[in-house]
Amino acid sequence: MKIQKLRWFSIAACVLLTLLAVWDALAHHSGRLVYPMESYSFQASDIPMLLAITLDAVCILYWFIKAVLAQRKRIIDTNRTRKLNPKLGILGLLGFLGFLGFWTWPAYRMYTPFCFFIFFGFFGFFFEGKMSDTLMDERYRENAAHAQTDACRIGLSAVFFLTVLVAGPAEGRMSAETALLILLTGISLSMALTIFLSVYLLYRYDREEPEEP
Amino acid sequence: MFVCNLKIFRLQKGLTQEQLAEKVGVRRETIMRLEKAQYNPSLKLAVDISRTVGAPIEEIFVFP
Repeated sequence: MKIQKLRWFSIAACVLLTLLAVWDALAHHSGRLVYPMESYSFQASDIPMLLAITLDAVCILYWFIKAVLAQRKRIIDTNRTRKLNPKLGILGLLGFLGFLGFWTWPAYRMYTPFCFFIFFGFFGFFFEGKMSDTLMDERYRENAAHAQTDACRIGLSAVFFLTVLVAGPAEGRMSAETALLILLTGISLSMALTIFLSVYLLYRYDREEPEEP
Repeated sequence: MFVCNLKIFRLQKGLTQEQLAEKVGVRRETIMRLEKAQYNPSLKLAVDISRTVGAPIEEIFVFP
């Protein structure tokens, strides 16, 4: 209860301080750090806004780490999987943001959006959610290790295929930038595949009936 | 594989799959797989089951 109060108090304080800093910037410093600017050079008048942003970042980071540690402690104490809503699988749609790269690359030479392909891995939450709060007995742990191994093997095979069989033969005929794009996209997709498969395969191994010998 | 007589010993002891699972610290699905001889238990689990149903391991899990 005390932690809950502290959490709401810190969130309220962060929001209030940020609003005050924005008001200060808009009212007294012609909206510096509020409106987009071409290039940034430090001014003493930026200090309230910078402090507010830093405080927000520290607060978010603190509560995130605290939530992760609490989740981990609960898993160890109860020996059950984490509680998760399968609907979080919708976050996998964020992976489609990766296609923005096909627009930002030719237009602005920006290739970072390709990294968003990694979010396709969040589709795994559909399956993790279905196994939410499950007792992790020895069969579960065996299946988890089996699924993890298979997922990593498939992911690494995808990277190997991409590097050796796709980028390899094009050596010399492909610019370094194109190779970077292919590798960045491929590695992001491989990681997404690994994240997704490690959960999906666990679900399959755990639920499916083995064939009769 | 092996033949699993767990169901016979469990019923003799008057336990449901759920109750046995709870006593040995696994899920009901694991007991179900064991009874169908679709899962090889660890030595610890085999011993725990043997003690719970009060039967020797070699009679519960029969290897040809």
